Amino acid sequence: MSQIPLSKYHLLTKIGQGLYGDVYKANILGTDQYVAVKKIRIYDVSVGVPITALRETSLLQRIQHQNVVKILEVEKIHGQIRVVMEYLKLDLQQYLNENKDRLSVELLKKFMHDILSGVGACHRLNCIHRDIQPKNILIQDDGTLKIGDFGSARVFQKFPQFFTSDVCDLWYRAPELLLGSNYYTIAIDMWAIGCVFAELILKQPLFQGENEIHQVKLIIPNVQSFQTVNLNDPNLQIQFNGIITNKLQNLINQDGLDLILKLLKLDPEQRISCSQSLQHSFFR
Amino acid sequence: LLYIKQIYFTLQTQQNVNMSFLNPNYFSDIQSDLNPEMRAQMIDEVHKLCTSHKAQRRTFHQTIYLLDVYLSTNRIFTAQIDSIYKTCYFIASKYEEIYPSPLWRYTNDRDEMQEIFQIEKELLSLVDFKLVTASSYVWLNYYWTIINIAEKTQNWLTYSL
Repeated sequence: MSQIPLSKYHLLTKIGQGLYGDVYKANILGTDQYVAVKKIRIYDVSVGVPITALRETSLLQRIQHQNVVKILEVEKIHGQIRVVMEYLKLDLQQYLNENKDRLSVELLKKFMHDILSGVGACHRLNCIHRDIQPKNILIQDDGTLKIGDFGSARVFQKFPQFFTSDVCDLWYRAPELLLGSNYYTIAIDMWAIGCVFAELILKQPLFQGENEIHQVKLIIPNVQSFQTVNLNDPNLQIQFNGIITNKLQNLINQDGLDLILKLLKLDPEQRISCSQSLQHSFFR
Repeated sequence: LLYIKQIYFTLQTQQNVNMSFLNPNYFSDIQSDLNPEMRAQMIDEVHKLCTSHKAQRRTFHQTIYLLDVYLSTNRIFTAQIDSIYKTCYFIASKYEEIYPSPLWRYTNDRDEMQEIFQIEKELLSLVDFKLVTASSYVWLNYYWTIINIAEKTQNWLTYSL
């Protein structure tokens, strides 16, 4: 009698639908450890294995860091490909919705430190995440944050490199992307982190644009024409800093405000990097 | 420049990972039906595909890496050559391009498509989804970001690689 290979994992409930297939909560047979299993569904016959699946698994396997979601195994069973990852219950968005009261400065420091070191680990391995938002930041039981969902991440080979400008969630999209630039660097991740930081303080997204034009107008209020916007214009920067300061002044100390302003620089060249921001006086 | 040192070490480890999938003597060890000239022909075909689809340069290098990985583990017959290089190009273009070229542009045969999907699965589990490569083109890119050379020189170097 031939033996049919059996999965080591017992699928329990469906917890979500990813970009390229269903995500199940599962436990490893014989133990009470929980994992998340992504079934890669091949829905379009002419595409084969989906692009996002290719990129996510190939990148996540390289990045071994405590603040990035781990891939435990890629399992091939019954002709299906299953990606086994660690199971994390909450994401940051749900966390913010559940806790209505303001976060303490200590907690803010810890969260920002985790996010920055996780994203910094990606950048060091020459990879851009391109989709940082609270939904993609997961929380472990002990409060550690982990970056997840590398579906739109890319390896870059030189900077700046030619890519598509249609990445990132609209509310977290950097101004150079909104203006349609195809050459961008890891600085777009830093803008998104800045937005997430402001969201942690405000308890609501910083810029909630309805469409791309509205989003640009929120960032640069009195814009005349989109072709002539010059992002390294110091006057624009001063004006923009004024908006941010008004919004956040009473909610955060001076160091935190300074870090946000450094993350949310309009000019991508001047934006601070992960390793620099971890040295910032806010974390002392 | 930002993170330049860390990226150097990353590329180096990446290269070691890449090398572990390759067998430099695969013609004498595994392939009996194939000779180096046929590999050269395959690369020519890949190049034709890349130019006709206006693929980026890095797609071409990725394809050849995947091709070598496949050839260093599986013994193949002359009849399979077509579908194998097409699969490698298929994966590489999905991985690297903004708009990957659809499969129907280079196969019209239903059976061949099925075969391509089969080989794709095989190849992906072979490299364990580790598609990130440090090819010679990546290294060249890395060096010219450091020394900041003109575009004309870049194109010349790419051409001569």
